Amino acid sequence: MATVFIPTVVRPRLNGLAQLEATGSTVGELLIDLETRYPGLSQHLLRPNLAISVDDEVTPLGVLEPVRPDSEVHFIAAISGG
Amino acid sequence: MAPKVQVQTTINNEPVQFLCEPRQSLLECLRDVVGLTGTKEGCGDGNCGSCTIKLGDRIVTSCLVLGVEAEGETITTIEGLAHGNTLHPLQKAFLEHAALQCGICTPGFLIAADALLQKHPHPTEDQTRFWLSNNLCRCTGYDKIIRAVQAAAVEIHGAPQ
Amino acid sequence: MSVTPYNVLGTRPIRHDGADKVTGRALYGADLQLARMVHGAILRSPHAHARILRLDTSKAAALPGVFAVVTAADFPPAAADKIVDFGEGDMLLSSLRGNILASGKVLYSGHAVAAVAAVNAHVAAEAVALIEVDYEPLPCVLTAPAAMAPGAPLLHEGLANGNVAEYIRHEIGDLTAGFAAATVIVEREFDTATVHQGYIEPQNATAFWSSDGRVHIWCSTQGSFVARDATAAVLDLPVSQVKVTPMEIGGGFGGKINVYLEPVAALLSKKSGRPVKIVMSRRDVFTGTGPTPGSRVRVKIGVDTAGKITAAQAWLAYEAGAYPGAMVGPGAMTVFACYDIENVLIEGFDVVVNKPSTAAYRAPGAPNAALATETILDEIAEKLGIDPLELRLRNAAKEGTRRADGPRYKRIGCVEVIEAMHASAHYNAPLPGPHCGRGVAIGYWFNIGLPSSATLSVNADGTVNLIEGSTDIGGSRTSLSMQAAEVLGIRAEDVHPTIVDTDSVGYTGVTGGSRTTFATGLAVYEAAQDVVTQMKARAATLWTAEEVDFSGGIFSSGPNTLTFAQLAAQLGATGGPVVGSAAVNPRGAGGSVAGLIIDLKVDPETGKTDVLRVTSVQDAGKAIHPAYVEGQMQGGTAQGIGWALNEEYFMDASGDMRNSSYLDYRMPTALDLPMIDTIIVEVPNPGHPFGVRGVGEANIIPPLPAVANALYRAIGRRLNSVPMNPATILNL
Ligand code: FES
Ligand code: FES
Repeated sequence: MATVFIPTVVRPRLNGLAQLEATGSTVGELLIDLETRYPGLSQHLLRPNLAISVDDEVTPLGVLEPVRPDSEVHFIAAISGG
Repeated sequence: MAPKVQVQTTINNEPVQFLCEPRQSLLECLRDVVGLTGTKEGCGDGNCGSCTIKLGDRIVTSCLVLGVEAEGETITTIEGLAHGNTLHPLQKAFLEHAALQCGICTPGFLIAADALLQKHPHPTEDQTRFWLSNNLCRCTGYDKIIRAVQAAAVEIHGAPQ
Repeated sequence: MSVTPYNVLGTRPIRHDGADKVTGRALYGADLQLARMVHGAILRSPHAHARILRLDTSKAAALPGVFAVVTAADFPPAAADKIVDFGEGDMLLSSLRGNILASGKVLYSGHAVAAVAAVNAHVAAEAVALIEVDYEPLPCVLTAPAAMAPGAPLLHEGLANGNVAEYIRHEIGDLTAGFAAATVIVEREFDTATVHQGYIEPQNATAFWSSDGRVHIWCSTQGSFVARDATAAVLDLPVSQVKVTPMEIGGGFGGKINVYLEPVAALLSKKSGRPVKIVMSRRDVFTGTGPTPGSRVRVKIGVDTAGKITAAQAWLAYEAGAYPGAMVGPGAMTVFACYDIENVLIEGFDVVVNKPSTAAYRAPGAPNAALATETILDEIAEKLGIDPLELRLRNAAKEGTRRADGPRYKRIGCVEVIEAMHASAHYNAPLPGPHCGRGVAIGYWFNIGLPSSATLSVNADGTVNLIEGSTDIGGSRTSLSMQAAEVLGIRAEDVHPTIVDTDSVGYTGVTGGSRTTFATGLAVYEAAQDVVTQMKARAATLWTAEEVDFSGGIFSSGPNTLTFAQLAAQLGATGGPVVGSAAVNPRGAGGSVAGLIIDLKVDPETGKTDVLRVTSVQDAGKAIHPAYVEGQMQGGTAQGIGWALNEEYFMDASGDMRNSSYLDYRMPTALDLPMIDTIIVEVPNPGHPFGVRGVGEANIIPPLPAVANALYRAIGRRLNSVPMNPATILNL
């Protein structure tokens, strides 16, 4: 099961949980799995100012990014730069 | 709109006549009327040096000179610094020392540095920095510009005695 | 002989656009002249916060020589909550439009209200003065703490919490336990002023709205595709109806990503039927474009007797200006990014205030945050009697270190940069005398990937033409050409780079985020590999060979060999032209750590600070063109020193910027700086075939705290606000 890390600002919606286990072969499938247990969660994770990091690398594929059973998924601030 | 005035000048060794309004700056005349856009405008109020040209035997910020004041004057702009296809030693030195990044300040620096080297064939670092402190560069931190000017001094005038 | 595996990388060829740029031939945006072109000017608000009660442009429109007048009412109708996705950050269309031409309210002094196109810039300025606006002034709020206070005037309806547009929080470990384990705890609060990127070339845009409905824009931009997409969004056009031709650009540093003039010039062109050029004045640039946020930052760090950081806490409030987007996200991500800390709490607030809507500026958000962390560490090092670099070394982030926002680092060069600083001649040299101080600091910047495209076509004379879309602000034509040359085994001079318009190359992101040499470099690398593959097939045809090798610029198979140039001459006979292309959207941008050592001398009578000696150190991964890497380091350092010592938006209580000229907004001149020594550290980035890390930004992070630390050594007091100018130093 992959581990989805919950951004600190979203944790109050999950009674403070910092990470969740989920199954799926892409980030999107992990979120669908989580939706069944935490309805409405993905709308707080899929935000324009958040980028998706899988195994410590920001992915340009977003929810389509493949994950492995031991993957770590983070939702982090999207940065642009000067 | 006041009637236009005819101005006769010599620009980069060629006689040039142009028509301008009395309110037009020499910078505007060079760029928009004569079509010499190598001289740049960074501020329009005399504080960045991008518009530096040689007017007679002194360097001026052309945004603070009126076009009509150029009557009878001899002007050198960046377009007149090279000899035909041969770059001026300062131009070569700027390229070899990577003394430009965006390049918008470069024409002003080159004209100012040319005047410096005519007055001080072997300027010290302090003299160079003082002379060029009218010209702002936001990209380079000046290091490579100063080195390029000093290298050009040696190229033009030989090593200092 | 050095043992570099490369022939071209690491050398210092003359830049390809050099001759044009030293002779005045290079065409920047303001240099464009088109037949029948007319000139635009913008009316800007004199109020920092006011309701627009009446806007009457009739007198301006009636002035002889005026061709068109536009206001926000000329934007096509669109849903108020429409989101624009640029692929590099999203924005509410209403905010994007609102900043380009105000509607309903003005939110800062300098906010654009209307625009005019006239026969020349003088008539346009006269016409602008004839536009009548009745304002109802509203109370304004100018700093983040004031805007967060209860009862503060509100800029917008419906933000998350009053003037706070976003709250960010990162938390790992157990903060209370971490501080309990500390022997030294220091907590301090810092204010930084709003500063501007200060690029010497003002914003400009020329637009022609053709009778066939297509809009052609010529402008100075860090990203032609971003300018295209933003302009299309504002004008509610399909992106393919807008073509952006990027002109040469006179500096950007993050400030030339947003669009200000392009849609306005387009609307004026639509109304007048003529090409319209608008060039900002310097005051327009200061008051009407995006500076970087002022901020209040509070940081608390605890360290144990072994010099290990046990806990760190940060509270960051950044001024977004008139619309949300204060870069507090990157501030929060970088505030402790150089260090391996188990217990961390970071809170960030994106706060709108009545100042120009802020924009990126070189590692945006990071210097404000690093000022706090790096000066506090300096103080702790002194209290513990540890060398400040040694303290940093003991806590340096490494591959595998978990960041406060979650992910772990890939290979980074934090340790190597600190070690290089420690070993430098500068750090080991004595200070020259009294009233002098030496400061050190480090900073981390993430760098970004994003899409880039490139095409290479092979010429019969053995050269190649490179077509790309990254605007060249500091020698990127050359750093890209060198990567193609390295792959193809030819000279950098044998690559002819051209930056083309948005109709002529695949999508390419901004020249920003330190990404060009990395990401467009990767596209060029891949395109060159594509050329090699095709050329191998040609050689195979020529020799009726199965296998062809290519190395060191030589194609070979058995006894047959041909150089790249020899084979290039035979393309016609072997099937025609060879064109290689690639489009990438890479991951693995690989962050860069920078450090600074600075010696200062303070005149105790005047409070004036002289910069005596500076050494900038940065991890470049692999320096493709070392001279331009040094140039980035020197430029970022100079900007950081200006930010630390002098630069600030001086706003009066009504929100008017009182120093909107280069005379009064004083950036460093050649006389204010010494030579800037550089040490390039190379810890290869595993995400790039040559190991490239972008070097455009991290170098601006260390100067603020390094200057503060040096001033402390010189005057014996710690300053808590930037700029640290003579007045601040004397009024201690
Ligand atoms: S444009 Fe003349 S000095 Fe700046
Ligand atoms: S090179 Fe850009 S301002 Fe000097």
